[in-house]
Amino acid sequence: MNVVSQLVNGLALGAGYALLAVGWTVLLSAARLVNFAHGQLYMLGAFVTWFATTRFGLPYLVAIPVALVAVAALAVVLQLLMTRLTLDQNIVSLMLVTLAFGYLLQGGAGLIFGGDPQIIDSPFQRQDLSLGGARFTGQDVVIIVLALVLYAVAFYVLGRTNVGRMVRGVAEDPKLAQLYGIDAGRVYLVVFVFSAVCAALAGAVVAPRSPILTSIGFEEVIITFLVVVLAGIGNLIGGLVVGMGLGLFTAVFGTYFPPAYSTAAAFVLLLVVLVVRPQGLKAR
Amino acid sequence: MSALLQVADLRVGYGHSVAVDRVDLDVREGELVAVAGANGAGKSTLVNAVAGWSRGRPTVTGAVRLAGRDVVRIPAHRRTGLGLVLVPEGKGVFDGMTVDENLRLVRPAKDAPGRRYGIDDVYGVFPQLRDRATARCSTLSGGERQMVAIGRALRAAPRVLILDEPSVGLAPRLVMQVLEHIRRLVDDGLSVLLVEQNVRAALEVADRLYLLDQGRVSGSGSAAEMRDDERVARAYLGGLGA
Ligand SMILES: Nc1ncnc2c1ncn2[C@@H]1O[C@H](COP(=O)(O)OP(=O)(O)OP(=O)(O)O)[C@@H](O)[C@H]1O
Ligand SMILES: [Mg+2]
Repeated sequence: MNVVSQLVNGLALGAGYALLAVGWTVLLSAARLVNFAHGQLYMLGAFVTWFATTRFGLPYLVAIPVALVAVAALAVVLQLLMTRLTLDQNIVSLMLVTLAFGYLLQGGAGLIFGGDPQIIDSPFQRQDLSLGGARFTGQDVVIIVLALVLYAVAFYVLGRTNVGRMVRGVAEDPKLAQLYGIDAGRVYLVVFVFSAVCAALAGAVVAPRSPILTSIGFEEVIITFLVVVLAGIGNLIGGLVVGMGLGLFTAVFGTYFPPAYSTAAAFVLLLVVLVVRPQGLKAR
Repeated sequence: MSALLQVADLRVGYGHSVAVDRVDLDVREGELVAVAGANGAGKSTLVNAVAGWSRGRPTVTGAVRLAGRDVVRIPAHRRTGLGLVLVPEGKGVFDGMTVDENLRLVRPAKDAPGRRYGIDDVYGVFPQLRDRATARCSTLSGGERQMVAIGRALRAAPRVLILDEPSVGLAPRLVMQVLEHIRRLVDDGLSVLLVEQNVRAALEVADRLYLLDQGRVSGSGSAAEMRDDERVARAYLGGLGA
């Protein structure tokens, strides 16, 4: 592989991380909710897409919205179960509850989808492109473009719309938000569903790049956590930059060292950054 | 005619301690009613319970009626929608947002019965906010922040505006300025329930005054009556004061 191929490969990988991080960032800053089931929502996004294409024979582009709706519905149920804890900002219980959800979803998915590795058939994955000697797939382009679009939308909605102002208000002070007439519980629900749908979307578009198992997700959630913390909590654009950067780092690292070490290397990077700059990349 | 806001037999406790005990209070249409009392008398607990709001976990019993409707089981965000709007003690605006964003965030329902204040109406009431429209609230002075808090409460189309010590931390000259602002709103038809430590200042602008002592109403009457009341004079108006 030449350098440009590496670059595109790294960017696609990083865009996948960024897609996972966008929902998490919004959720964490708005609801102080660390969702350890985030990775399983990613896994479900991938598997429902696979299921819809193989069992119902739906085209890939139709299967994705099906997966997003399914995960959104699931997210509504999960958040309704957690509303009380979220309103009380019972952070530690929330971590454990989401961890429990993660294991439940993984077990449930194993029962429904089986334990074999599966491959999502995406027309974009079969599309070989080349640019200046670099070779990559249409899927890579889809992931990168999608990440950019989603970040732009999230940035606009949070910064410029009334829904965004509500989310920021609840993030700053959920009690005070009530006096502005804002139903904090509903804002939490919207944010949680948004974050789940982003994870599912990431799963649906990233998964065709390699075989999927129902056990995937935990590695992804750890990496997402890393991206969010490195970016600085609540720093949307930082999430995109760090996600992309981490993807590039992993791709480049993988060409010189065994890829098994790349996660460890990423955490070394995290340690260095946090020691030097405890607030992450976020401006003070 | 019954009062616009009626509080009857209200009791509020935190755990086993009683902070507000059997309070009856009302605010009539177009009236400015003040609540005064010592630190810890239960003033904030009382008005927070009227708004259905708290940063703690109080237990509330009794009745809070807005235009005859009992709202005591209705959550705070919906009471705001009904026009029972509170500006709490202390932090009352989102510091991370600009003045303009704070004001825009509040949108009354289409069928909200209270009087509507547009963004421009708020700037009309507090002209000095207009120049700070795009400033983050964290960069405002205490008084300016209080204006934003009152401004966003006006945006919610209040029928009864509840203000918990809006003048706290302000210079004596500014205290009267803020209170006179509030008086003008009342003269315009708004009904206000105001918590004010400074009894002398409260009596300048209020129509009626309730005195709260250890969670109970220890006296109430028209501003004129209360000014002449010997106990009030001795306890609150003697010697010092603004
Ligand atoms: N969140 C809370 N949890 C437990 N007790 C509380 C809480 N808030 C107030 N109290 C208690 O209730 C009583 C009344 O407090 P409150 O804040 O209503 O008084 P206040 O009249 O508003 O005083 P101040 O003039 O200082 O604002 C006090 O004894 C206080 O300790
Ligand atoms: Mg108080």
